[in-house]
Amino acid sequence: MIFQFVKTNILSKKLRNFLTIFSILVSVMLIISVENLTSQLKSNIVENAGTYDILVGAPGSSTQLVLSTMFYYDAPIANIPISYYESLQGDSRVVKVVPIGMGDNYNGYKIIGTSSEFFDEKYSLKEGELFTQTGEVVIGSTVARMTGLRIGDEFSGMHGLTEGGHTHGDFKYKVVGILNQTRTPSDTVIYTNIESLWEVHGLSHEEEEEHSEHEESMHGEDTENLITALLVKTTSLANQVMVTNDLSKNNDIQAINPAATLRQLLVTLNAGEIIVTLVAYVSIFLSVIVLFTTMLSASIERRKDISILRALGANRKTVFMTILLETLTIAIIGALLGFLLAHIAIGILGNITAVNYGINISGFAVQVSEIYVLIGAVILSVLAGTIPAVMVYKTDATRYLK
Amino acid sequence: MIKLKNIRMQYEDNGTKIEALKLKELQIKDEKHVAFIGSSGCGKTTLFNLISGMITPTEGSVEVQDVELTSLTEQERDLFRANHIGYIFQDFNLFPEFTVLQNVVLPMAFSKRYTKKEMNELAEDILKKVGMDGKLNQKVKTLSGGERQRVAIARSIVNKPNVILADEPTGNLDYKNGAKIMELIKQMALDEKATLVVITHNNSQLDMFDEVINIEELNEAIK
Repeated sequence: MIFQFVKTNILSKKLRNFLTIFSILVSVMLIISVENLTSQLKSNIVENAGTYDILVGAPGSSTQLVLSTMFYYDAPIANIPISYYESLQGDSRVVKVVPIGMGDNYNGYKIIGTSSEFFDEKYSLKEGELFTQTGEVVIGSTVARMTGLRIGDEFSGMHGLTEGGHTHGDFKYKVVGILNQTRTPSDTVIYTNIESLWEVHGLSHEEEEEHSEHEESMHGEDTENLITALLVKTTSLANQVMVTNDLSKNNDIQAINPAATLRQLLVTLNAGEIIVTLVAYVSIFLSVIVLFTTMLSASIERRKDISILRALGANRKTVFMTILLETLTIAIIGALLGFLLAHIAIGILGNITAVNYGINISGFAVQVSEIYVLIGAVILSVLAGTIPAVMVYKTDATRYLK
Repeated sequence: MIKLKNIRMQYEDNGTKIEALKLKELQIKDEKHVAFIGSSGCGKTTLFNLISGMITPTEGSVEVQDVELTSLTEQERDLFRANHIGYIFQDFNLFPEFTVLQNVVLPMAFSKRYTKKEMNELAEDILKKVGMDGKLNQKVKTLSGGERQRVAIARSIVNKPNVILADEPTGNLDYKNGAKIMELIKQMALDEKATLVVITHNNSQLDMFDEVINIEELNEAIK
């Protein structure tokens, strides 16, 4: 019967209780979204950092170098000479060196020139095989899904890293493999061997001269046998330091530790996260105040109802529990809806980031901290309902009966 | 039997003690129908609250159905009230958002004597007796004044109380409806073999009672 009483009370003041539930919902949704998104984003970044110790690229922003080479986000800084690739291949301190070249796209999906060594255990083929010949490509799962490209299909690349450049019509790429989904930015790119890029740009030089149009990046200079970056794995930490130092002596390149740069990036992300989290916590505090005032005014309005209940035989504990249960119900509805909507929003956002950036964010991933947020929100709400409940507990029932 | 002896009821207002009720003795025998009369503020409602155990006297004893209420804890008095006292108010004091049935079931939930099925069956039975069986699931806010008081009567007797306390039960009704309701209350008290105590200002109804007590004459505090 108490549950019936609480239900009727909540439904009888629909607008007021809806607004209270809404304020809790928004606060919980905000906190959970921030916690969940930053956590998933960080783990994505860490996973994508891979196993490479050194990243070699053109001088400039190290963050831009990491983002463009490892996440295919942002434009590459510039190209570096092929000689660094050749010398590192012969370096005994180096286990593996993988070239990365970029400058073209197909329907907005970047075409990455690399070598077959790039495909470590993280990658597996869903269909076909890895490229062996110039012009052959292996496509990421998102690219396959979004473009409809299948094994054996041929296409021409477009100049630039986004849609809208002119088409390298004379050079045809052929799809020989489709990768399984990795839930990384690799899903959103097309891989070919570095020689393909050199060849297509050799051809495109002639085209560009005909069109008298020159653009920057690989096309703007003598691009043949140039690469955008090198991913290097060394034999030991000591060798990593030595190779980095050796490479850093050259002014036309920079050699960085990608993990260190990503850590710095995460520190920057943390600062943003702290600000947003603070805002979210302030908002939940305000929601608790809203809940407190709602329950306080409800308790004052309901003094007569409480008195009637007491006259009918309800004891003080029962009426105290009635108010507390009402607060708890509102808080739980608000918190659970906030949790649910946060995850729906994260799921929708995850679809967008997966398609556009290859960043896997799942709406189903629940962080432990979210449970604490839910419990915390409910505890705070119950505390907010305690004072009105105590007021009701102390009500002199005989004063309001007529 | 209701027995009040050597009652002294004092309130404190801004540090000043105010004596509201001083009464040597009051006895009401079982199954009697008694009317309390007297001007406003003479202590009628205070007496009701003492009999129901809502309050305890500053001094004196209150015995209802051989139970000394002053010796009980507040929680025990609440349970006693749920099981032995039926209240009817001038303002009906029903829950307008609840249905007729829910309003009547409510005191049974506090008496802790019945299962949910029993509660619904008993409530439906009582509502039939007061002529409200056709509106069981109607919200109380949609009812007329007379219908509301019928629901309130059903609620007051659903726990089969030994004592029914009615505080100006016809005060908000017109003459015709008031007479009908008072008849119904008396009939229900007779059926349930309950003692009926009614506060009334309606002199035309006084001959319906076995005894009429003028509290003004009993209360030594206001003499």
